[in-house]
Amino acid sequence: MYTIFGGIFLGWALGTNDAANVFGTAVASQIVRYRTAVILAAIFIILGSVVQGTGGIRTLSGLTEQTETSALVVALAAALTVLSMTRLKLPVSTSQAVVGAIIGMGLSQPGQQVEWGLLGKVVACWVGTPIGAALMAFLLYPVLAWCLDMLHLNIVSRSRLLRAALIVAGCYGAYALGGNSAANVTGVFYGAELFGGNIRLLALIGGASIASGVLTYSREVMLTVGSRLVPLDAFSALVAVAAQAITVHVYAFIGVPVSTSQAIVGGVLGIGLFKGIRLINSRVLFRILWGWLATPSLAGLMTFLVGKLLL
Amino acid sequence: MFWKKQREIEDAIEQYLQETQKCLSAFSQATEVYFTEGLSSRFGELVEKVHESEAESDRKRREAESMMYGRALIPEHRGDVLGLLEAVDLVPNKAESVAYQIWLQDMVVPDEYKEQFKALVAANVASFDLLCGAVNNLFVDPRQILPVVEKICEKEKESDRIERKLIKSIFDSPGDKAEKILLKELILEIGAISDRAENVSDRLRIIAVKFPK
Repeated sequence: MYTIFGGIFLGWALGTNDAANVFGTAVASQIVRYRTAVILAAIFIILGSVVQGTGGIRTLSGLTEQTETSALVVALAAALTVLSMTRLKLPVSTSQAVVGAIIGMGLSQPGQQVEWGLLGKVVACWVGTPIGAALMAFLLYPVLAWCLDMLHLNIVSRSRLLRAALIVAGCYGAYALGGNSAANVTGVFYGAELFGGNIRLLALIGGASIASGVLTYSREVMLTVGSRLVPLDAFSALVAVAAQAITVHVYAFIGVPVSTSQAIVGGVLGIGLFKGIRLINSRVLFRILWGWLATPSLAGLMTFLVGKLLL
Repeated sequence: MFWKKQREIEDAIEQYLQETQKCLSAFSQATEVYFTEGLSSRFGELVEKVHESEAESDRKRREAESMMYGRALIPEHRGDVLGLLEAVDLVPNKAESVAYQIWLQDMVVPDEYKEQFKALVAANVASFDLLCGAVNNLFVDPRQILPVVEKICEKEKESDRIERKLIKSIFDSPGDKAEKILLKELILEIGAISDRAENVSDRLRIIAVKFPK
């Protein structure tokens, strides 16, 4: 049972990074207080993981067979990949690190089956994430702008509404994050039948560990990522977060964990497309491509070597 | 309770705008008396009234600004409104400055130019009245800002036309060059009221455009 701590560590690392994707812009631009953001994020992450997290858990556990030991190795390899790339200020997706680690472990064990068809579905969803979020933002921007205009609000009312809407969008984003990412944390342990295969318990542990990362160590990332991202006005930030949340939530329904970082980039890109201005440069797009290729490769290499040499 | 903070800010801004309009109204009265009675004691009293109104409007502006630092406005809107109030404040400052200029320098406007000076003052005070309406629209109905901004620009152009015509008349006529230069300065100082009003209206135009369409 101690092996679950590998997953909890991974969840904590995920939480420290991904909180910025839902509340980063709002906190960095001082629209929402940091304390308010992290408390709300923690609550809704846990809610999302319990209500919506089981689909992703089943998908990841179905990629290849796991034992408790191999599940621990996968979780630690993914966590180390995430932490070392974060330390090197390189883009990283926890979902892709976990999937890469799972495949690497599967390939290291002779006679082990890898569900390539399922992997293909997962990779297709990764590609679809920034594209889907961009499309969602492109469609959402004029609709929300029209709604806001129809309300005929003065500047003070508009200000209050935007603040409230950003909080709601952030909560929804946190819920989607929990529903999407609980699988990254405990999906492999479901496959290893930890806790008797109690999927809701595993989803709760996944959500709680992500929430712990948000509550304890997300401030720096939230402030730097939130301000390093393209400076957006409050309305555009709302559209980007909403687009990201909807996209990630859709994939939670489909049952495939995806990258929330790439979803928010897609959302910002979609806004730029609508406004006819380039908000994302080729360097950022390269970073997404890098994430697709390097992250799972690195994590997979790690688990393959450990699996081959030690298990 | 939910709307209390919002109403407090809107009331504070409205009171500030009313006070600035009182200042410009006092300025208009003072110039009216000046063109009729010259540098009379009544004119002096009205100059003092302009000064007191300007000081009171400063006080109300600071009150409104300190309310902004609560959480009623998001930072981008707070910055816009604070910048706007600071820019509006330059107008009553100028009105006070002109009133004192006439009073302290014992300025004498020849009779043949008084009607044109009155028209110049009227155009500039009218531009500020329009400006107060436009600023108020930000807190009532932002859709009405841009049409009023266009009217402010027209008033400013009208003021420019009167200024140029007046300066030309003064320098085409015989008389002491030094007196002419003083009158020209006074004309330009009065005209600066509508120039400043137009500068504020440019800010309002940008704020209005930032609202997504």
